[in-house]
Amino acid sequence: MQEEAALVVRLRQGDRRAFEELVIAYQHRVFGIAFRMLGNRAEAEEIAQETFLRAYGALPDFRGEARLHTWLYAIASRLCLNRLASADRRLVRSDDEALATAPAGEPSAAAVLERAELDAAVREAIAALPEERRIVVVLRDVEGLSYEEIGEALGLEPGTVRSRLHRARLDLKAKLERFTR
Amino acid sequence: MNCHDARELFSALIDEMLTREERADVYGHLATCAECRRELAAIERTVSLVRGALPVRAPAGFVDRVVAAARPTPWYVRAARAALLPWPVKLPLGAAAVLLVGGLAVLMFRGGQEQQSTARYDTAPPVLADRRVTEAPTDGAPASTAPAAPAPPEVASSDRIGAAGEADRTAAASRLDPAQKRAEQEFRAESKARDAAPADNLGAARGSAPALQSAPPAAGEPALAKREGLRQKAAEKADVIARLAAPDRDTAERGVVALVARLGGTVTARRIEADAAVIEVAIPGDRYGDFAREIGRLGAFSVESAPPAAPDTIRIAVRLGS
Repeated sequence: MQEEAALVVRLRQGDRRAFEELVIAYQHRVFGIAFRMLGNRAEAEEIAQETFLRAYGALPDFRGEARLHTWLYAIASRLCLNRLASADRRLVRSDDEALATAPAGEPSAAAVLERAELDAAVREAIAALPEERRIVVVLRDVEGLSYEEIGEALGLEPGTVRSRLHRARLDLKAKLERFTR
Repeated sequence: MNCHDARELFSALIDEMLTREERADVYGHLATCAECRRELAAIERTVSLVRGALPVRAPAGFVDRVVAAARPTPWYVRAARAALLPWPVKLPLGAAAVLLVGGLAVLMFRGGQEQQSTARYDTAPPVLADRRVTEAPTDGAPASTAPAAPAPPEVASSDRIGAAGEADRTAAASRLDPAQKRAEQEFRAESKARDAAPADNLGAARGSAPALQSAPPAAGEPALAKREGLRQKAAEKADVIARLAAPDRDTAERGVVALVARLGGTVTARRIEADAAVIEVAIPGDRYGDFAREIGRLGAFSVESAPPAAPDTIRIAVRLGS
């Protein structure tokens, strides 16, 4: 927390090295949100880059009332939802290749296949959710934000967050039933 | 609590977002309902699957690209981007700019014409002052006569008066107040009389000095436009614009050339107009009196425009006609 406060101070002073540290620290998480929301790597990179640039331009106005990562996720979420709502968005196709994933030791071939199948199923299930439910479940179950932080990022009441999250999980349960039995 | 109410709280139960009472109610129901226990377990496994999904990693080089994009854009890059605006944006902007510039040009041109007309007439006071008439107040009060104002005219001003077309005078006169119109009418009447009189008479009227007073041409003549054009051309260079009517133009021209040479002057230009030859000469200013006197022997000499005082070297445009 203190490190984040110090980083914010340096960012507001225009410290370019601090901005680089910010990007290094949050690049994967911001990109992950964009990718899980949009399903396309090129589009996700564009949105993630735009997120950091918007943040860089708005840093003088950042008052520190929200956590830095919450603020970043809020920017990324709005950009994703705006992109999804745009008319030309319908022409974009989702990437079919598997996600770039973290190394997982030395698993067996069967385990690798099983894990790949599971990840693909989870990704497809999330992608099939309505957008307003998808962003909530991504921020909660993938990025680990609290209900309050999600409400702050999306401008929603905590009760709305809770309701949407519950509906999203019921949808996911139905789509992932064969993995949960 | 029934099954429906309990299941609505399962998600919040997993996230530990229930109050103590809500949690007690849900657990109380679960203790008696196996179906709801299975439902809760399925949701917990689903959440576990999602939370256990492998993390997504940003592509290689992402940080460098973002940091580079955040650098301030040099001015020349910004200018190039502005120049390369997409046509749907640039075209309407360009059209608007053209319309704006065109509109301003029209406004300036119209204003300029009006100002020119006014300025031409405003240069009249040297002549009008000579007629002892002052400009009427702008509020339309009657004009008053005043003592003879010192003749301030600059040669350029006289030339501008001469250069102003008759049409301009008419147009300007229509905008005059009654006093100014009256002064203009007096001025025209006297100008006609002076045009008809020999130059020496005018010179005599001013004593020994030659006639060096501006005078507009007689109005209403068919050749007025040509005459005005000739006057304007000569006025761009000459201090004095004069006319010499002689039975034999060639003889008169040779006489003028000889006279100028005798007075220490020189012929600077000669040109043929539609109905006359114009010869331009330059003589010492102190010999102008001799010039005006001796040229009268060659024919009927009249001065149409002259400065109030002779400069050191006086340039004269003589229009030779029969």
